[in-house]
Amino acid sequence: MKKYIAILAGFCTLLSACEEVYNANLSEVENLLVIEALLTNDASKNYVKIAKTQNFYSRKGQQRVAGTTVTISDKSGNSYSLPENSTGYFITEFSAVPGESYRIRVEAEGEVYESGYETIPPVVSVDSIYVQPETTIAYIYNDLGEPTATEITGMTVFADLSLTEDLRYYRFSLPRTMEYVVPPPPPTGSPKPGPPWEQGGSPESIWGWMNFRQSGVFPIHGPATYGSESVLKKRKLLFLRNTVGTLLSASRVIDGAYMVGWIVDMSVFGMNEKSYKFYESVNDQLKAEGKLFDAVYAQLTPNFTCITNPGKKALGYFEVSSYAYRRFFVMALAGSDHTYFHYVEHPWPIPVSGEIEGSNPPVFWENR
Amino acid sequence: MALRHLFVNLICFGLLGFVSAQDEIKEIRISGSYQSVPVQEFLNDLTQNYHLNVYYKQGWLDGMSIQATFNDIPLIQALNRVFGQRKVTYRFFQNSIVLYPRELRGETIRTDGEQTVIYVGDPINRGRYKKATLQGMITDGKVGDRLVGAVIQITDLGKTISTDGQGGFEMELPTGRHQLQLSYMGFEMRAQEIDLIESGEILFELFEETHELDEIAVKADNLGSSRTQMSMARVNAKTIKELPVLMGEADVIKSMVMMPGVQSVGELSSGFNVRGGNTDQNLVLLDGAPIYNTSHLFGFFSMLNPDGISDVILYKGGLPASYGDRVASVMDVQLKAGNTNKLEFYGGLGLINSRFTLEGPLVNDKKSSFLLGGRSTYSDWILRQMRNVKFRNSVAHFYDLNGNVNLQLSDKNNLKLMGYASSDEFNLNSNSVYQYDNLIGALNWRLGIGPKVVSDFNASYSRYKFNLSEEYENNSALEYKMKTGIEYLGTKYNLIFLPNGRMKLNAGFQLNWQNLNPGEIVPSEKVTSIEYEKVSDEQALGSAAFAGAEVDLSDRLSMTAGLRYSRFSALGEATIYLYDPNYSPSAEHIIDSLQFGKNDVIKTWQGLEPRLSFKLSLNDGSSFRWAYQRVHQYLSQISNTSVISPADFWKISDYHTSPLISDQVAVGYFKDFTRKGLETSVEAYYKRLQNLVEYKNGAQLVMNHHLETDIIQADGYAYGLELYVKKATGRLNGWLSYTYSRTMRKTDNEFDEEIINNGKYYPSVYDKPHDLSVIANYQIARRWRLSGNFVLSSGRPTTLPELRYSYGGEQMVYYSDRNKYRMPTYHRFDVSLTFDENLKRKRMWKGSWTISIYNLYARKNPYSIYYQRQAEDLSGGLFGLYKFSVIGIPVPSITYNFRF
Repeated sequence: MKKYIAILAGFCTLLSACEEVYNANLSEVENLLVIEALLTNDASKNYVKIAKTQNFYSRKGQQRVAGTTVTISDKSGNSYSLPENSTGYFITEFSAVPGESYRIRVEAEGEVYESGYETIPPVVSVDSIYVQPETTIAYIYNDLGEPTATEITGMTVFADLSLTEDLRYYRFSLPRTMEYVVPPPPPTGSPKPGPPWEQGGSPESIWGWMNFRQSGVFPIHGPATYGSESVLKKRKLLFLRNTVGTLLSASRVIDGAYMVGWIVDMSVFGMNEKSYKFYESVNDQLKAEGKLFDAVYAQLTPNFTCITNPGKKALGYFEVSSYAYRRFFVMALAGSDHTYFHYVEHPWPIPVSGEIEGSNPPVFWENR
Repeated sequence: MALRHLFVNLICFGLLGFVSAQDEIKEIRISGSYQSVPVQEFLNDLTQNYHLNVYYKQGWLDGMSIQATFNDIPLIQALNRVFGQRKVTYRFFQNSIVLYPRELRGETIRTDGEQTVIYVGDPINRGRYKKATLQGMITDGKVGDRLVGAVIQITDLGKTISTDGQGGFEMELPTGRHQLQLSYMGFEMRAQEIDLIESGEILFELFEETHELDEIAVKADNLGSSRTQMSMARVNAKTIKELPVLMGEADVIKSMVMMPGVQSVGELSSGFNVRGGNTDQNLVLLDGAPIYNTSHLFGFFSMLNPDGISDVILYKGGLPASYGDRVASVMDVQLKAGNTNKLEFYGGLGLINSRFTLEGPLVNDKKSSFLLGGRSTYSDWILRQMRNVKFRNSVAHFYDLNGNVNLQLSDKNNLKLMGYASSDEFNLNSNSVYQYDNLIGALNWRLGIGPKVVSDFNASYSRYKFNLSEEYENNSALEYKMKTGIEYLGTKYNLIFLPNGRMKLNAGFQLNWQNLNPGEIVPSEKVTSIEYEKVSDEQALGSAAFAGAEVDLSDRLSMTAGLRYSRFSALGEATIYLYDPNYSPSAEHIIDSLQFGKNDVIKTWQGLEPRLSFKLSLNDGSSFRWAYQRVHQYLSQISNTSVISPADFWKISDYHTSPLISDQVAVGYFKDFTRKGLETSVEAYYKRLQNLVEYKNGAQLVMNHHLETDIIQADGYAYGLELYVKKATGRLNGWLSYTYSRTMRKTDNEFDEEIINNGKYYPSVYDKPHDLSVIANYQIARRWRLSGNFVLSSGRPTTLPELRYSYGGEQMVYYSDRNKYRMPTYHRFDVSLTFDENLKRKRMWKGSWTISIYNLYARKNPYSIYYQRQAEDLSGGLFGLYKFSVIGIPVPSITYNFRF
């Protein structure tokens, strides 16, 4: 009987679909202007990038566009000409005001592009972040599609997000830093030492940290498509491992390294509905898998047009969002329900990934 | 045995021409009364009273009785009355009568070509009438089934008619001798001479091809249901079952896409595309009831059980006036009536599903019958045995049940009740569970009113329901079900009048009511964060009146003309939003609304649909045909996926959405090379389409309360050339079809949001210029058959990314104009080897085996080409496009079919 099952299963395996890289013979088409703009209530976060697309199979990097001017104006009649910080990269010297409406005007390559007015939602107040231990199973497939289960322990960070009439949509940016420590090697024949905090005092150790940037699908949250919630409860922000495991690159794998925890630099953007829909489309494109019954494709539509030549296309988006920032430390111990969480009141700058040796950790360091 | 030898010897004599005395004994007039006595008594009387020799085997007549009174009638008429419906028939030989089982008669005809003449009418009336009406029926001589669409050619007159939906026919002919050729696909052609003396009835039997001889004359019907019919494809149950198919499951729609002008998107596609039309432009009728989803199991199989099907006709053009509602085609699926003579059970065991059918007489009058069939799959169980966790976490199962009761209330009064139910459920390793079901019923009543009028009445019901369940392991409060559906209730009446053999008239009407659920969100749990939401139901009342005439204008020129008036009213209850005319409609530009109460008429659409076709017969048996048709379609399927999915819902033409209108002209040349057993045809068509449904970029279709704001109405055209060559006879038979076609769209609207590709024509997603199908069957031996089919078609148009750029630190892409590119060419070769069932009639259990290999040379045909961000890492920093193939390797299967 088992053989019979195996044969039937084999037949079905044969039916399994196959997926392979396809080299299309694409046309060379004219590159388009890309305007990527972010305007918030924090001037240091604001920027406008003017660049050109590249053909799909081109190996060139994205080219910034020189000789452009950018103006942002509000409904109250103020107009701000943005200084060009570097070629095609503009910054603002003003902070936008929540509740005010702004529009962008870009003059580039002989054409003028202009958006409609977009209103900045209220500033987000996020103070209900919490963490729960979690173990997930990841499957690694071999060439035959046979899985090998791998258990990953860690923690999930959640947030409760309020919903008001003016603020219903959120976007997060969650770059994080993994802290680990390597105690000094024990004398020959002695057992492996525990982490420094179990040894009392601050013995000479290696204090290491590794930065991970926000990448991939944008973490956005809004009311469920068909929901009636008054609060967005327990929205998952990210999952973090609680062991150094394979996170350290081969050159930096150090026997005896202990994970201390994670520092998360959380930026929260309060978006309007139009921006939220735009990021949904962005995520649709980032997540595209060509699944059964997927929509044909997700084309991103900008919120500006070329007013001097309506037939001229441009890409990008003028995002007008409120901005808030919090840093927090988080850790859940392996094999335990105990979790650590606290907000960091003085967020010191964190250098690029590195290690220092000594009895004291670096100044940005956070402990459990 | 001795008798059989005698019989053969007699036939040999027959070959030498000793048949001249036959006419004399046929004219002998006999009398006698027999009341429930054995047939032997009648035969003894013939010997004793009329000095006739009668040869037969005693065993053949066991249990056979006679109840008849003969008053001085010709012997031939008496014999017809005694043996007309029996398993034993007779033949004259000089002054003798030879009785023999009917199957021996078939052998005789095949062996020496001898023909008997069937006399219709009393010889005493010979010369009394110039014309007479011949009515009758053609049945399957083996099982008694009526053969729908069998062809009768009166070769001496150059006329052709086909049997109707009940296997019957009626024609007016000059009295005298005529040569008839009877043919039906998969059955032996029968040549029969008749002597028509006066109006009368006649029963013909055709027998399935038995493959015993080198040359088997099987002639298929390519002539259609009217005198001038063209643009019609037809497959019967036998053809469907002979094609090599995926997983060994015979499939009606997969068979139909082998015909010219009929295409499909690929392996995982529901439905089919006719002459470049969308899937929703096909009306599929099951005994007259519409089907709204024709697929099972992601589209791998069609929802029609091949065992329950009698005949399938697809009208691609030249649509009779009695049909309408869809602009691309009408597929009329006739379910088989049960066997009136004996109980039969048959079915098939396949790798992932099995089927059964039980049929037989309903009562002992041998006139009424029933049929009950079903299919179910064990794919769920198989998936659970798989090691691959993706499969283990998946669900895929379906079942369907079909049944009918056929009540032959009298020779001209037939009532047929049909019921069908199916259910599907599947998910592909995800939180989304797709579930849908069909429920269909139909009543068909055909009544002959006198010799020249036939009344056809149909009442039908069809319901399609779809349910998408979103399930979350860790957050049941967010679980919900999304429901859509459509319900149809309709009736149709058609009155057919046959004043003479040169004319056929018909007129009738249709009335239907439809209720559509465009979308509904229902929380799955009592404690929930999901709010119940419903897009307002749509209701509509449709009606049509039609009339048509088929006329032989001359011996060579025939015409079919028809006119259909269709009317469609969208009904309340509804709130209709009015939009600022200065902007493309959107929720932000609503300026007013209209309220309509329950059953209030929101909007009425109507139109005249002329139909006209001609056939010019040429001397060499070939013909030119020309057809024009206009059709209105008031119902569209809303879908922005590359293939139709079960989640796609339907929408009526309403206040904002105009009906789709199609005008089609087709011209064709048809020629049969009878001696070579070849049928050929060439057809060309041009179609103009108005108000096609397209979508704005980024359209949100599901649960959209303002769907009209995301719909664009486009115009388009399609044209094509279809070539068809069929060899229906011989050990090697099959067909070849080639189609060259284009189908284009254009959105020439006022607002930018409603313009696709700058308002220029672009290819439809179903635009596949070249399409070739070759099907061949080779009878290796009496019970061994080898079949193969090869398909080749242009790749489907697709939209691919042309530009890339960075946004928010992520690489994004910009897609080309819609459908600018084309997928790689699709081609595939399938083979099957069948060991047919034992041909011995007495064997109780009969089984056949079919081994097939789908996609023999492992072609990885693309289902879709798409951009996937992960491909960056796999292609050296470049973006990646992926090709997804549903089936990339040969798929073997084995099926056992049984019957007892």
